[in-house]
Amino acid sequence: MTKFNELTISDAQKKIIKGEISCRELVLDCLAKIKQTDEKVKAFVTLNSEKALSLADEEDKRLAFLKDTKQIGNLFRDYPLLGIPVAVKDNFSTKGLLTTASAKVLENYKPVFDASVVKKINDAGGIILGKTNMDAWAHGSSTESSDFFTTRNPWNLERLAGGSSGGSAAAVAADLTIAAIGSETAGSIRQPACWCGVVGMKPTYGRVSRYGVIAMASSTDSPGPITKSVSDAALMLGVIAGKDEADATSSPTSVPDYLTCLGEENKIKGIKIGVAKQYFLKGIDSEVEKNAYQAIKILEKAGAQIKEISLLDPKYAVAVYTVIQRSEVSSNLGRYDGIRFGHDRSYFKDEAKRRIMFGTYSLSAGYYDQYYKKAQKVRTLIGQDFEKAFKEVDLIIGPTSPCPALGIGATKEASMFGEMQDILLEASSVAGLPAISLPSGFSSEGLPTGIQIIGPSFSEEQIFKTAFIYEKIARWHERKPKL
Amino acid sequence: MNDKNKQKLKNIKTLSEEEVKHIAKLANLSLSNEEVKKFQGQLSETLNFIQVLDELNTEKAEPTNHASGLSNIFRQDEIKPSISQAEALANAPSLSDGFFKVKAILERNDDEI
Repeated sequence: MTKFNELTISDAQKKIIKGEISCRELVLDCLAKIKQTDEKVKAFVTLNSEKALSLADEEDKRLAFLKDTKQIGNLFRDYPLLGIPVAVKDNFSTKGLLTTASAKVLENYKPVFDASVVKKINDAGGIILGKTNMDAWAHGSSTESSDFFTTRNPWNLERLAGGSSGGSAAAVAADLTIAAIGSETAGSIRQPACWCGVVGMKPTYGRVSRYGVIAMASSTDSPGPITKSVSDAALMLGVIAGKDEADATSSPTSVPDYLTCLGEENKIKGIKIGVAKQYFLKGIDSEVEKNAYQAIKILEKAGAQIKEISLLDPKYAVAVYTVIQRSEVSSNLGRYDGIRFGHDRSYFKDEAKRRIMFGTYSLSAGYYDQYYKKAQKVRTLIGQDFEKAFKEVDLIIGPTSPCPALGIGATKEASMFGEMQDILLEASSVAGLPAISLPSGFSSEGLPTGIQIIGPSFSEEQIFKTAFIYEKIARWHERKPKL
Repeated sequence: MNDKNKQKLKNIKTLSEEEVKHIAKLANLSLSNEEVKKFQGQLSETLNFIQVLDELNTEKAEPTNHASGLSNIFRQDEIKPSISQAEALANAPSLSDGFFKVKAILERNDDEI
């Protein structure tokens, strides 16, 4: 029998509507699974067990008042995440609940407000189950640079979960939660989702408010969902997206109903999908490559038109990202003083120091034009390169990560580890484009591989639609790790 | 050696220990001598990595600050409730009479008073 923690959001909802499960049972099953396996996986930094259970009881009381399934179904229209346990990356401020960004500096910090994303999840009836591990300050792609502990990949505990949203991806993959929230600056949702074999959606920059997210690189930070299925990602993005007065870069573009665009197969007939040869790098893992080409074939068979396109060599995006991210980190963390909360600056660890210092250098007098401004100009070229490509095609498809999950310890003293792991993700990030990563199969060692689908700004509907059809045919998301 | 390679060689950049110490000072970070040596190598490595940017002609490109394309976002200038003093102080490591307490940053020189 399926344990309730293994359910997707949509299946859990169906069961709640039919009265087959209570919200309390859903939370209890997640907590039981956490107790049973999180000692091994180490996805959570902080649990919110008691509060989660009391919230679940409140939702159950609300449901008990309603007589028939129709009334309950209507309630879900107003509260689309009603009773759903959600794990939240530890860089999202949660009122009264520890928010450390997995950094020693903030080990004792309890915010006095909720991030807008957290507020939206609460308002939609979602239940925050706990806070998940990440690379400290989100500076990394492994969750190995968390100041607390390394999160393990549920498919193989000797492998990395990826990062920086590694705790969220591992929690979803290991069924410790129904869904999770991550944040991506350049790869931090897609890459851990890929390595853990789950779905990760990085929305258009500005689609989701950054308010209350501990800032990393403010010009690319994008919160987004990590889920067990494409339709769950669509549902969650619908909840968290939208204009926010508290974030001036959040977009006034109206939020479509992402769920209604799914489901009709003929909708991808004639859609043009580009395959860039530059994204099938020399040295890419052969099984990753094979699975990506198989995914492309599946979409072609489903009616998509596949077209070869050419994009800028991704090495330029890596360099642009390296300069811009570190510059913005130095500006954001330069203001950190430890006077109002947290410890003082002597608690910063190597990775944060390295990034702050590089950014300080690239922004300093005499080097600003040479590095920072130059990077911003190349960033413009990258944006134009995508614009040109999207005149020829509707979407672009390629591998997410050039390899399956690497072993624990792979990042040691590799000061550019993240940048190289995220080589296929940085261009779309610096251009602010939306993209989804979803499972494309497994390696012979049983590790998940992933593909990404990138679209023009605010093309999330099209991306979801295409990903949904692929998922429905390929069904990789139904496989579960043995834990 | 062709011109391109000569150019590359000229561009190889190594930060000196002094530069690393200066950057750390600007960034208000204190480093041990070991750290200075370690970061000297790592930061130089990163600097050389980003030299690829020089391969692209950006004469006609305007810099992109962020990808949203939005500018001049205003809101009404209205007074709204904010957090209380107690909440604002709740996480402070050091307090005095309802204020944040900080270490003195100026030295007192009695002769000048």
